[in-house]
Amino acid sequence: MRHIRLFLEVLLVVFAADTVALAQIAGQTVPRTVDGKPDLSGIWQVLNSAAYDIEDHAAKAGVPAGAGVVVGGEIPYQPSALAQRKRNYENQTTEDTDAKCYLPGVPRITYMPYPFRIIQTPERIDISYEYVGALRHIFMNTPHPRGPIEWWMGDSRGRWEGDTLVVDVVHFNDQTRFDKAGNFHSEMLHVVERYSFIDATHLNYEVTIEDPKVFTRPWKMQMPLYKRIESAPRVLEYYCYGFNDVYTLPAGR
Amino acid sequence: MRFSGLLVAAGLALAAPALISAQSAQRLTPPTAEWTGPRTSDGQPDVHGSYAKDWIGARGPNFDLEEGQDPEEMRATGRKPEDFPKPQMVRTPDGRIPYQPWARQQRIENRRNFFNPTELWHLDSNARCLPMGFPRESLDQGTEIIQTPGFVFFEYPYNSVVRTIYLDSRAPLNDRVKLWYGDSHGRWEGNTLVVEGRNFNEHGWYDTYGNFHSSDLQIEERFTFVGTRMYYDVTSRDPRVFSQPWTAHVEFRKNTGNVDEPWETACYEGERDTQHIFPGKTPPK
Repeated sequence: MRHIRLFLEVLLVVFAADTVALAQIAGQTVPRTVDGKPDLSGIWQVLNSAAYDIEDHAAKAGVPAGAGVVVGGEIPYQPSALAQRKRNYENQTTEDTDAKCYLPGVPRITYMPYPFRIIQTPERIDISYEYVGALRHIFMNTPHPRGPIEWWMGDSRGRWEGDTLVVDVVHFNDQTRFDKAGNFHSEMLHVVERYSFIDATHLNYEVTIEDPKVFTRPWKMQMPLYKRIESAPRVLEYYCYGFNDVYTLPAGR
Repeated sequence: MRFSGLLVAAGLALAAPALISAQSAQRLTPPTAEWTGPRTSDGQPDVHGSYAKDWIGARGPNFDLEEGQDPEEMRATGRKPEDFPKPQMVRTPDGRIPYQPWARQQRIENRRNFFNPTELWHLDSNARCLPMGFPRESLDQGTEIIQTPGFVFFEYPYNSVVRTIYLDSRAPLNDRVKLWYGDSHGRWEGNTLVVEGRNFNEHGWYDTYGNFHSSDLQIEERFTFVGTRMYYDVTSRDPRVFSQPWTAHVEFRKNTGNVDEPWETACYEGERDTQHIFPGKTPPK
């Protein structure tokens, strides 16, 4: 009898606390650095099929079906841009960065199906990606260098807004795409990433995309990032351009 | 294609023709001592910062760990081989890498192939913008050290490479997993970071001209920090290729002034030379 009463009391407390309590629980479990910022250090990875197509898509050979990561479902292309997306899809096996093994740009590098390690210091947050060994520097609280500059991965400048890491990225080239389905941008691309903890092992990753040459308005992607919680996880190597015609010892040695 | 250090080599030839000596067996790194400087939040000696390679201290550029001289450079400047200081990175009595006899022949062939390439793999991997691998990257280039609890990271801005050194006691990687940059486990002994590296593939060389190792390579590296200097000694063990372990030595200076932000390198994306050297053998870009 006493046990049942205790159970009911606990249940009541839980119901009363509702989402506020959940938010507090989440807040308490967020790891923090010595300077009190949320500590994003560790290895993270997505669990989705955005690398193939960031919009909702059915399965086809070699492509898993998937719910898209575009908030609202559709990318607001200017009508003139749709023909380019179609051409991109048709030539993706030769012209896409994933076919060429080039740096894939931001935010695409995040949702490539490979892990990445966040290395956090107060002045700089670096991200070491397994895919093509990409290394990205997010310089904190500093302005972008003056352009025009066209980089594959853009120029990333970060700041903390409360417990959210906000990264402003500009200075892209027009060679990277958002996925293998041909979704694309121009060199006018402006990306704002937001990283915030959902709980200790999940981040909410939200990205605002702006490109006045290609889209009618800014739009967003959103997806969770999952922490790799197995013991001693590693970021290994995926240098896809280093698989063929490399030096090896003579046969028998 | 890139030839790292061409300008540095020229500068070195002008600035330091007299720094030639044959004391290769002499110990250059001060003995390991207690660390008396600041420490990181997890108790490591705090050595974070940017380090430039001391080319003078290295006694020569490492186009070739044993020979040093760069024929391209000699042709360009009209200088003779004797004008170039002999490198003293290889700390054996004769400054040579102790190859097994077959491996010495292989190394000579690698060098010959590099200058008369008929296959893509005759070229140095770095010339094709492929990874350098370790220990070449750490012998060749300056680095930035970043420390977080449980880790030391070495970032190499030249190739935009990050090396993760695990300070925890995690299990080693299975031997069948081979990597350009290997798997690195470290520990602090006073002012010295000792790193055990293994799981290397055999695609990366020690230098531009074909000093090589097999995928059995295991290295022990000692990074000794004294004042603003970082002394680096790397011992290579590879019983398939070398007759005995051997050590290479390079020194670095900490940059105490402003350091440029590391910006994008994107070497492979811009690489256009191999398709002209080997038409049809590389994908068009």
